[in-house]
Amino acid sequence: MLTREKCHDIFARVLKHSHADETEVLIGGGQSALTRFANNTIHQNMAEENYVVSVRTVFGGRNCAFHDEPIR
Amino acid sequence: MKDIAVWALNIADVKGVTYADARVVDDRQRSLATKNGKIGAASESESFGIGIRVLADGAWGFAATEDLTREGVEIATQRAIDIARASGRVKQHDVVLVPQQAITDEWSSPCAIDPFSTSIEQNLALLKKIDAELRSVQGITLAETNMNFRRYEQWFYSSDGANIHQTRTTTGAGFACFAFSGTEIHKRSYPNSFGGQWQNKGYELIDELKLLDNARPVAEQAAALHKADQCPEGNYTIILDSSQLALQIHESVGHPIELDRVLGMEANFAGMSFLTTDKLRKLRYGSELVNVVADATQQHGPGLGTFAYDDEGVPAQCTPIISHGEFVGFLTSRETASAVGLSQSGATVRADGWNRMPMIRMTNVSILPGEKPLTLDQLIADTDHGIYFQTNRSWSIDDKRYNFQFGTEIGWEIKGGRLGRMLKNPSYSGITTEFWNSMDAICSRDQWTLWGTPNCGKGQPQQVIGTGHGAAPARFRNVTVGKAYKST
Repeated sequence: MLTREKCHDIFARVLKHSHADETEVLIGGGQSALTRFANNTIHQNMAEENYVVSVRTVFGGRNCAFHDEPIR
Repeated sequence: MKDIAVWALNIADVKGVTYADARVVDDRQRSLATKNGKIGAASESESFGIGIRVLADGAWGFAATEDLTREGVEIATQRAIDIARASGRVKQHDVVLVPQQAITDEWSSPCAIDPFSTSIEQNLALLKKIDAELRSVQGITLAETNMNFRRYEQWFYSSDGANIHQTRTTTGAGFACFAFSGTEIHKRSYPNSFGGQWQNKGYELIDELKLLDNARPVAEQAAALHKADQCPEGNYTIILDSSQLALQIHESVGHPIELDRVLGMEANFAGMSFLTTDKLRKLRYGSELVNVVADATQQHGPGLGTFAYDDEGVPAQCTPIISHGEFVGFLTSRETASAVGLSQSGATVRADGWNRMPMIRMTNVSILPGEKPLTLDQLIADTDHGIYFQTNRSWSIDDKRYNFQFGTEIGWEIKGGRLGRMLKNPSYSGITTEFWNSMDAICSRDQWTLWGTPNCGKGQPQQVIGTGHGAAPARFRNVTVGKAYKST
């Protein structure tokens, strides 16, 4: 479960390793579930827990990104 | 990784499920692109997690988590079991799997140069050179390039005893340029449209494609299309280049043979199918020359549908789909194989990540080349009057995969056995079985290319997966041409 404190901690860890002119960190995720019916029965029933950290840096006006899902 | 999977399988065993499997996946990707000399995209990503699939009370349950602690994996497994048991309360019949021998193995796709050992700077420098070369041609108003790498490493364990570790390294690259003038825009791509060529290879693919060498001639064609004549309307003999034929196979053979679509279990992103199970070994899908296989084996080539085992632990196979024109096979899974009287799965089940439930996907659905030596030049020389279509520009096909229309970036008139004037806005349309039955020639092995389609979508949540399609230039008679575009 993400909390404001945990997000701050992740951002601080990313920033410590970044030498970029600008650094942006996007943190998101959670639980999702989906049920699909076909032929009058459930043919797909699933649940997922997933979190994403996306880091975007800018050097001299140019940017690049890194996305990493495990944030524990 | 085995410990992580064993935590899941132990819980499933204790709870008395019929079957369980666990896939631990580490997925790394790099994606780079330029647009008119500027970097359009430069990103790397890594995704790591586990997907647990269980069969309990006759129904499937699936749960996935990126929390690979013991507690996280056990919670996800219990969730999958709960979901299966809930589904089982409203089932129409039990899900039954055809048997599969448990296999222990390790496999990696051949990769001469690890693409992740190359630097992003080196990758972008090449793309920017290509981009500049494209824009140096007068008339080019937009240039786009791309380069993509992926390493997909998976550990698969099942309650049957499977223990399979496989790694696929994929590389893709290409470019496109656009010439905009007046009210028309023309596009040329290399080596294929919508992302170029993709294969299970390392950085060596980038060297093989000779992207920079081909930039200028391709850009000159894009500019020249503005002065080309409009593709005529009527019924013509047509020749498709191998990349366009590959997409034709994808849309009008690959999707309709997915047995989950045929059985009404899946309809998202491509609809269902005109095929029914009673058509197996009865339908004349194409002419005597049409031989199509679904081949995931390494022997077929480094296609995006090449692997050693599918996501149910079934060994890769070569399944005949159309044999001398007769329809003889579907793409099957352990669940669906018995519906067409098979005792084993065709090994076509894949997921696009750890957090998605695997489903039937195309492997390398390819048309086999002609047995007699025949080059494209010889095929054109053998054609008195017709149109040669190169490089897909658009596609449209109904939700049963029966009526279709394709446009290509460029066409050429064939007259007296020679390529003549350039034609703009070429298009053709047809009905799947009529079209494949009109094929009267296909070039030989030396003209055959295994193309990668990286963007095949299916299911919900959408799963985007790579498929392979081998094809050689082929000729079709009496095809409806030129309906899609009108002269401007």
